[in-house]
Amino acid sequence: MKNIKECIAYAKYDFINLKSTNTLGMVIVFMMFGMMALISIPEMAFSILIAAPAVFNALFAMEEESGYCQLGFFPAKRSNAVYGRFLLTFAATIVLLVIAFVMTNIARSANAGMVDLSLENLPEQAKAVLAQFPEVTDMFIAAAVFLFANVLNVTSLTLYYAVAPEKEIAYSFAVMGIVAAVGFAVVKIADISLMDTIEFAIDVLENQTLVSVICFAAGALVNIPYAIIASRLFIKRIYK
Amino acid sequence: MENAIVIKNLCKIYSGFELKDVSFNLPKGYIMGFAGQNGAGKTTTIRSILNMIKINSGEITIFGKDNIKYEREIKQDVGVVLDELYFTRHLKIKSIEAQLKMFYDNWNSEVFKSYIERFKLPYNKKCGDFSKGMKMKLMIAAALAHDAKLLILDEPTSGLDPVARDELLDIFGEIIEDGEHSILFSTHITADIERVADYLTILYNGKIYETGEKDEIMEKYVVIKGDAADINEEIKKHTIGFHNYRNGFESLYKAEYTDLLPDSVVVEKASIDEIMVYIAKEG
Repeated sequence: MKNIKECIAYAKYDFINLKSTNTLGMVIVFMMFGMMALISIPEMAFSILIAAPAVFNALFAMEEESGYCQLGFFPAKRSNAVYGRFLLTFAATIVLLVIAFVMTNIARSANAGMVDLSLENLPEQAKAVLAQFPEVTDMFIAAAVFLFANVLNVTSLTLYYAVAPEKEIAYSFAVMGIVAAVGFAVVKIADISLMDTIEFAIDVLENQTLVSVICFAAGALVNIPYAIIASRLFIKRIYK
Repeated sequence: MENAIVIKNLCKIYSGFELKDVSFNLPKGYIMGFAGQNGAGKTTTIRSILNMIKINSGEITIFGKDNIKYEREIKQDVGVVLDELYFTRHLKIKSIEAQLKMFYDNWNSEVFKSYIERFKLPYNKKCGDFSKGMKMKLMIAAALAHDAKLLILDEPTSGLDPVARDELLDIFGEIIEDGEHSILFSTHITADIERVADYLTILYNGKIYETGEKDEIMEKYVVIKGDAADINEEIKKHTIGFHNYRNGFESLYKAEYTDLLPDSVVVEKASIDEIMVYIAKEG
């Protein structure tokens, strides 16, 4: 019970950091652009799913540079900060996931001529959109992508906590291992091979417009500073 | 006497640096100055007390409890102030309080507010934009808001102007007035230790050189000056950091042997600064 309370406290801690840095605003703007693109390009949803956790990653990394060292002073287990972070990113990604898929299905329905995206006959249009929902395979792929993105994110945080006692680090890695296993299980249950996922991504890249490619590139780019910061912090912690 | 901190034979090995058999006690209700030159191991000791690093051997107890086994419980009663602000820099005071109070059972918003007002800290400014003195005060306000019985401060006065330093040292004095609070503060500004500390620990090259009551330690040493011809080998044995100049010598000297000195040698009270400098010269 105490651990759960601490995880939630750490998740709130992260949330306050994000809220106060216009991070949420940035994520919302990012999603708005994505959604606008979605209306005309349904598969853009996948691009958004790839890029959104990367944005989170980059912004969290900025937080770590400034405020995270204080966690060692709190009367709470440092490993719970890792789980708290996971909790928050997981909740945020689920929200993004739902929005992205609703938008995808609106766009698909519009493309199929089932809805006209006007404000008239909204209940009927909503029913038509819901009838398209869910695209199970895409959802599973996206869920898997999200899980892995989060594992990457949280694992980096764990590495940052190399300063914490080894036992806690080991526990954190074990939990992240379980999460990764769940990700694999999702892929397995949905009968999606890694090649399917890669082909899907390539397909999106090959068949979409420049906007889609830019979205992918942006996702990759925002991960670069994150990777640099995370590695630098890790090295600093190890050799300090 | 009840102790706030007891450290026994603390060892931490890094490549190129070693903290060796560090042992000292901080009695409850007192201020201990933790002195040593840069790289002497002060921060490593503090990080060990806070279980921020894994120690190689030794034992640390805070209020009689093991610092690792009872970490959560102990940290409810420990406040940390560093020379650099460790709160997220773009947050304002209100958000910082929202973050901190979730973790402390004894968090008292009224107390926090009263210190913020007393220290005249602005609510509408990001804490990263605060002056150095304001940052220190914010960290102290946060520590006192959860009624930390032990304050651990790492170089809190470095970089502060004389007025801010004076104010901060006055605050230290107020904090320990009730006999329930204790302060361990590391610094290389020894004048601060001389002013407020009751106890003193001098760390040199990863080892404890002196630890105990400040006045007793200061009484143990004197600075001697004179002509090199005035001293013999017997006297030289009790010198520390002896240095022979063209027109005389200067050295730290063990006060208990002043009877051996000839009248021509000038004997002066040693300051902590001088004790540290001569210890470093001795090597």
